[in-house]
Amino acid sequence: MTDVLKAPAPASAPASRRGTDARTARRRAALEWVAIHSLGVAAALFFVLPFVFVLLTSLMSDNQALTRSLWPHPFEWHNYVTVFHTAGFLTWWKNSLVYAVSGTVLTVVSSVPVAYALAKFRFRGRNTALMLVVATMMLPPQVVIVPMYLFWANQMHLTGTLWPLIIPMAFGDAFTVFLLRQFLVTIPNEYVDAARVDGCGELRTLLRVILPMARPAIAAVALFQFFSCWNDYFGPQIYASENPAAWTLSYGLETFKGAHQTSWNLTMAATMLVMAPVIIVFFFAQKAFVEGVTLTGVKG
Amino acid sequence: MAAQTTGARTRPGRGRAPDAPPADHARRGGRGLGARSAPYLLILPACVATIALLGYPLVRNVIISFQDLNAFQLIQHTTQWTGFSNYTDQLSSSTFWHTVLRSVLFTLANVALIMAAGTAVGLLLNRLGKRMRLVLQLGLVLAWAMPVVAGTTVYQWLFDSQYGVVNWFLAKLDWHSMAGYNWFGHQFSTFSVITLMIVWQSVPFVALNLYAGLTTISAELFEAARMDGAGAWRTFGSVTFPILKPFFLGTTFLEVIWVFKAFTQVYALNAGGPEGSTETLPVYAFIEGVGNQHYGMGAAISTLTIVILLALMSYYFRIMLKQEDDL
Repeated sequence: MTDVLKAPAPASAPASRRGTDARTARRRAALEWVAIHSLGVAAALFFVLPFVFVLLTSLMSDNQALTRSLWPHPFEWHNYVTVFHTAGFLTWWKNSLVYAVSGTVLTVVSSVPVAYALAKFRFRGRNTALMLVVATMMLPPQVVIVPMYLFWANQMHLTGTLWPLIIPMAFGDAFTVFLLRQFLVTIPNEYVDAARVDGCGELRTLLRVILPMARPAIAAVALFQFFSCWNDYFGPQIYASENPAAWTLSYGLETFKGAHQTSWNLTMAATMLVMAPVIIVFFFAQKAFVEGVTLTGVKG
Repeated sequence: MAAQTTGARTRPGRGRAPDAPPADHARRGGRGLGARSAPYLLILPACVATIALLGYPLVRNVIISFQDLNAFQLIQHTTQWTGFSNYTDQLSSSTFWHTVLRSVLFTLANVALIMAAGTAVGLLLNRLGKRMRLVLQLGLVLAWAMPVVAGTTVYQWLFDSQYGVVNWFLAKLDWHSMAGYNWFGHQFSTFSVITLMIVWQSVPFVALNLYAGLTTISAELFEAARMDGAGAWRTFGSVTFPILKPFFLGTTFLEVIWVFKAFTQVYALNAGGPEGSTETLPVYAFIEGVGNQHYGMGAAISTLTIVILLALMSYYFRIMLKQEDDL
């Protein structure tokens, strides 16, 4: 932690260039290189070590997981098979996938028009709408959970399914709208005007002109949404917990943990299996992700 | 997959926009969409849904907060109005004010650490060699991609009193009293673990973003600053920060929201314990309302939480509105 915080300190070295002695300068540069790269190693370790521990522990035998030694001997690949055969694990996986994929598609499709309207139109009530978006973003879901739960349970009779989680996604998500709008604002208005002059309706302008330009941002918010659905713990806990057939991985992992209290090796193998899809998606889409986030975040 | 067939498309149209300008006789759909009604039509479905899924619960929440609604009344289907007594109970209880103070301090400390560490790592990324940068980026991505529940499990295990790596390591360093230390038995140590975890999870977003932002600043600016003899701090203060100010403002805002809202981390790690001493406002509202089935009281806490949040965010609202007017 402290290593990370100290990061910028050694950077003060390069400044004085006036030193005429070339050797001193070179030595200084070399020292600086070493300092910066040691910090880099320290920071990388800080972020990666928990993950490494998880991986190693997930491959240990039951007995070894309770000892201090860190390197698995022998490698117990069977742990993963055991986890897979846990009652319900595949169902949790399927539910998470359904929730994350449909949630992502619905959110993106429904949020784009809202973001477009808030970015490219001036109209009465726009500031109010913007405030509403930001206020929605801020609201902790816990504070409306009682009436929300009563609504889905008594009026809709949908608790114990994934529907209370998925249906709201079809009407836009505040965070997605916010990020997309930040990006769309940076697209010069001339493009929109030109399209209108050419006789494009608003919908055509949005689909043909704006969407292709906004592809990186859309990729980024889609990934964000996928992760947040996949990782969502509170929603499934509230709406799906009463019916094990509707549990998602994140909620299932908690119960798994409870059922295997001292079997850290199995818990960690389960953790790896929860993480795997997210990491795979992330690696395939990393470039688009960082690109899109940059565009939405920096030039806001 | 059946889920995807629900009204996925948000079709503009259907019903009138709430306060559309009266002079406008816009046609719906396709080409003829009047430019003036278009924005209203585009945001209409989201507005309706927000009112239904958020406005309604908020109103109900306020109504419930004036009732004495516990498990007993819920089963009996009786309504007992108590006026402001839930509010006066909370506002005069030291537990509530301690929780408020704790939430605010918790948010401030975490956001400060996240922004400082994130900025440091972002700047570091910019200075590393290509290969080392890739390694660090990989580490950041792994930390970022780890689901919160999984991350919580990992940190519970790392800090486990008997089998945890941390205690083992501290004991190795000859700090033997730490061998069986119970990190989750005290307020400060629990908060330390939560904070470490949240910082660990949040820094990648800030760092990767900042690095990406840094790459958009032309190298000549940094060169010029160096020529003028500016050190690293000066360069950051007079080149990097001013250029990336929108980034810092926006990111800080998002982090404040995320940390204040952090529920899974606090709740799953130690359920607000020991003895409620690490409950933040969302956790407190949840445990009091849903956990202890004091729905009326929980609703009052929720309403107060919203008021506090709005007060904390009013400054940002002002900045944002000013920016909008400049657009």
